[in-house]
Amino acid sequence: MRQAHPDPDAMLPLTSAVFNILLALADGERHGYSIMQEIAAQTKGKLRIGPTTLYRSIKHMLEDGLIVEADERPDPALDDERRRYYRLTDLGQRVAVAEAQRLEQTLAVARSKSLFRNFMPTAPEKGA
Amino acid sequence: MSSTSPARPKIIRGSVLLYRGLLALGPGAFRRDYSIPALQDFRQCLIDAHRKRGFFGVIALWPLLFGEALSGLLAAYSREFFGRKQAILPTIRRSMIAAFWAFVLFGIAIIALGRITDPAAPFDAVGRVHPEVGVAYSIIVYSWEIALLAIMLGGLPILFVALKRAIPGGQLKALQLFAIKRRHALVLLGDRAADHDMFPGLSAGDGIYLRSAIMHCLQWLHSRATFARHRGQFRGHRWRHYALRLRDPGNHCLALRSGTAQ
Repeated sequence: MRQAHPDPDAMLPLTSAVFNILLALADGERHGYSIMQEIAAQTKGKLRIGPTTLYRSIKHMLEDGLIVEADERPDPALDDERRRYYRLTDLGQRVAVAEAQRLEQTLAVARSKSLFRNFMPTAPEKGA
Repeated sequence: MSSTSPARPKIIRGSVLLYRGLLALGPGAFRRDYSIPALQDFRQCLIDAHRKRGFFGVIALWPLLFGEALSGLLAAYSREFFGRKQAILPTIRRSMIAAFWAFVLFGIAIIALGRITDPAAPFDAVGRVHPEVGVAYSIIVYSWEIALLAIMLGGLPILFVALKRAIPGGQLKALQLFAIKRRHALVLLGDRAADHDMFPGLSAGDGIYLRSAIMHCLQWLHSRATFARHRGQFRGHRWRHYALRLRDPGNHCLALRSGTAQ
């Protein structure tokens, strides 16, 4: 596996699938199918990724050191022993935060534009 | 697990079979590492969809699952062939640069030859007597000019990108792009040694056989050296693989990969 990248900003921007996988793993270890379900839930069904995209992204993320395969299963008695669990690494957490900050910055710019003001009810109005 | 699982509806079994076939078309590395969990999750998606919406729930998932499988496998192939961050493999890059410079040197040699033979009008005298020679020479010159233009157009960007990537690694890295490996140097030396000029007793045909033999010997030596370097990784692997296959045919790949097998 590749060494941890010192600068998370160098790995940005992330693809939508990778960022959502990082977010899905932010609460703890998950297996592949659980990640797919969590992504569908956290995006309210707007983003659905299939197994091929999921494992292709996982492969890249393992190579980049963003996630690792967990050695222990949360509940070995109940779970299918063939399932692989994944968890975030320290670098993965930092990259997720950096990506969230980047998106936040972009969103702030979008909100400041008059073009979007009528379509974004949550945008803060001047003088309010 | 599979032996205790209940019988699935035909639509699920058919879809899994189809997906399994699709995965079999994918790149070897991806297939080896992720086909089992991907298939498992695919089956789980279908089971959930069937539980909620029945037959049509499964059919409704087809465009999403098979569509993303196709595009995902194409992307995996693309990554395997071209890499993600490195546009081309270092070996290929180095070979392309070597070929580019070889052609430039060849071009210089042709120009020199043209200057030596007839600086004012190449092969003019011969061409007057034998027009076919003049035509042949013109064809060679035009072909060379077109090929040089194509190589310059294609090769210079490669050279530029390769240098741009190599320079941050230090001057040595940049210089290494133009260096040849010991193995390649040996092949070149072997080639020269096999030349019939150095061995007057050999005909041109014999030289080809001798070159081929030298190259095969070097290749064999290189593969032996590579195997010796990584011997520790291969030790016992084959027997472990067979033992696991006998014990648990469905699960031996995963166990072998994760190192949990005893």
